[in-house]
Amino acid sequence: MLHANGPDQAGIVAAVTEALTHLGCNLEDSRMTILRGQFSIMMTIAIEDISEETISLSAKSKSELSISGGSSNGDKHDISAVTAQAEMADSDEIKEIIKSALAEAVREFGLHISVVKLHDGLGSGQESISGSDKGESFNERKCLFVSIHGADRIGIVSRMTGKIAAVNSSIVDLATRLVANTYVLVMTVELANTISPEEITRYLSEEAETLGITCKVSSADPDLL
Amino acid sequence: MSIRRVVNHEEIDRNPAAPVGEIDDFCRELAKDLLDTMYASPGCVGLAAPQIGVSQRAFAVNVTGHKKTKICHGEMVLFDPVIIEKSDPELAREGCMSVPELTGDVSRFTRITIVAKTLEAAEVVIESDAFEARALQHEIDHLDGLLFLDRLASPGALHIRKVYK
Repeated sequence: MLHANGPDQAGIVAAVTEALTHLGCNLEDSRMTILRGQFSIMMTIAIEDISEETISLSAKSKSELSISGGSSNGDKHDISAVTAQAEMADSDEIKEIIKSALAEAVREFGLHISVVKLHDGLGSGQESISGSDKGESFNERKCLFVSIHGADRIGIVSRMTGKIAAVNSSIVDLATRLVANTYVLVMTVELANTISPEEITRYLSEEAETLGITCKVSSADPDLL
Repeated sequence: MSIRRVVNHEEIDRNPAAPVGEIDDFCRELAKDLLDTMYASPGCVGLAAPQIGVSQRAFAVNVTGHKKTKICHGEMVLFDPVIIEKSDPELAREGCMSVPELTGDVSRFTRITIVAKTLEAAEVVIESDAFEARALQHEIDHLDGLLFLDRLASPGALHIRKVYK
């Protein structure tokens, strides 16, 4: 998982993805947004093979640009250039190679980059959920769209999402906006199999009432056509 | 009974399907296959001929019993449909047998009127709304080589279809 953020300007996505493509990365899932002039993107990338030449160039680039993390020993890079391909399990090395490949984009756009290795099976393909509900059902879980708005005050998100967490349900998408003194929170919630849409709607409505805000809940379940 | 394999988005013909023209034995066999395959697929309320590898303008729909259904014409197999009237659009999330890994928020007209031919070769005018109207538009899209992926409302309108194992 690669996360890049920085001040928004034209060309960031093109520069980052070009560098990753050059490195031989396959871009999978991604989401990008801009909040008050700050750009942020997270993407899952897969690396099946990195050539020794690329590793050497990346290692050299890393030495020159002093990307943080990992060893700064130049001799180490020469050795790792030879061995890293055979030791792809060395995730720290791979992360540094990716960061090195992005060094130019980082410098040009003032980006902050973080790279996290995902566990096998979490990087691509259909998502599956484990946990307390694992094995209970092959059915898709109920999905709700929750829209909340009202006068801004401290604690709206924490108290509303706390109600969701309390019934072991998950927020899978969330956005908030503060405009003047009006606060808007929208989110998609996946329900645990142990709670009904009616129950959680009641909990959220009661909490919203104590906060003096409006809460609307509707189904976000897809219909198979 | 003939349950056909539903082709996925990589295999499905993305060109507009050919008009059926006269209703003949081929159409009757196609109708049977569409219904058999639709009913054999859990949760499926509609299936278009291109989804079973037949590039002809035909589909089956039955939204009976669905919670979002208002007007309901029951089981329908229609040929050469044309939308002649449509109302305001509405956004809702839908999935497709041919795109099993994803769902998407798609805007569809809440009321439509279509003209089509039935298996009896009669020309019918069908007015529908709500979920049946959405299903009809989804299937007609298939006949035009379109998937719901072509009609997503925004980047945030694409969702992974989660399966719990």
